[in-house]
Amino acid sequence: MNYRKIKHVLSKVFMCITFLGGMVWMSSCSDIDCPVTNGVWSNYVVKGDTLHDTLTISAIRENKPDTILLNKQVNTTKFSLPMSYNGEKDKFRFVFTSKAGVTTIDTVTISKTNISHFESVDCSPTFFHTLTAISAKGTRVKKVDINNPNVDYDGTKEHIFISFTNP
Amino acid sequence: MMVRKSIYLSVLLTLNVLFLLTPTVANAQRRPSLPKVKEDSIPFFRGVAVGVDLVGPAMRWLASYGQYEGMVRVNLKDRYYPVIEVGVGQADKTDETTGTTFKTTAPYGRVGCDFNMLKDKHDAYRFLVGGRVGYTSFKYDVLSPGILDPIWGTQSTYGNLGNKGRQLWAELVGGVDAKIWGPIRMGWSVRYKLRLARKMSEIGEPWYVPGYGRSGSSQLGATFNVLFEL
Repeated sequence: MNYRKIKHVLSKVFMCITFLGGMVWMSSCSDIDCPVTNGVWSNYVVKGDTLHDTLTISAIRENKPDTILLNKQVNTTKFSLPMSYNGEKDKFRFVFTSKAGVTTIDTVTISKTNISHFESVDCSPTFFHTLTAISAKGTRVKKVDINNPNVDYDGTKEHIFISFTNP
Repeated sequence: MMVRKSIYLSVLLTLNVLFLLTPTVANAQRRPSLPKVKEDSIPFFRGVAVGVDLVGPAMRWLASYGQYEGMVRVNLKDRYYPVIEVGVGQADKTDETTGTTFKTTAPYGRVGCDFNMLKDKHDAYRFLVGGRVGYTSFKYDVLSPGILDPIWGTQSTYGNLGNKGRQLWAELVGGVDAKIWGPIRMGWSVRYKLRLARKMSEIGEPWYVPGYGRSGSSQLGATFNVLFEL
């Protein structure tokens, strides 16, 4: 067998090995790029005077008891609340408790649209939201406004500005 | 006496110079004239090759995504190889943990040119380096059986069908190619893919882009081609 024939056979063998090796390599590649903090939260910033009373916030659910989202927070300047995945309106019960033990309750309602957000099949399904309206009923919430309507993974966004009356 | 000495010295120097120069002149006379650079006499158009990629179908068979791809390559003077690659990319992936499914089937195309870097460009082996520009316009489905909202306690529908996307990308290609038997050639290429532009649906980035591969700003890929030279 001369040199040229050996070279030819070797090239064929090399091609086959490369093909098989490449297949194993390509099919074994897998990675997961899910966001590390994949919570979608609406962020509230307290404007004006800091709230002196203790604040507890609950989600008002249909046909279910309320569930506490923020428990007895004091000297509140900012806080974050989760949003419902697919609800058109989220209702929150704000419970203010003074040092004297007097309790007052306000209700805040947020209207929104919901968009499924896809990152990868490996990542938990999430929803992004666009805030369309916000209102409050009661005596303690003085003013509430939408500052940034887009609620997504970005935790630095200040979505809602809220101010309270301190009796 | 001094005059005689200088005459001897002059004669010796002259003889010495003549002695040194003579063989050089003789060699110069014997040296053949420089070979003229031969002009490449082969025709500009050297043929067409059609081929298929085997990596894409094998990946589709082994994994949950892959592509079926064919190519047409023109041989110009055994040095330049303009090429067109067209195919259909496919993905159907469901994650066992999340239950989310991603589906797409769409065509794509690439155009580019390879250059044979070997000194002996007429050799049966070729070392090819080149580039491609690829484009695809596709629709993709994201499906889910639905998820339970852990706070509000409601069952939520997730996903959307017929999400539209398109992408333009560039590829740097390096590979080898060898004559196997008669008109049949085989070769592999390694590709570095770089996303240039894209437009995706509101739902988010697709898990797989036909012809480009798994989503991301850059990708590594490979092909193993079987070609038939016409």
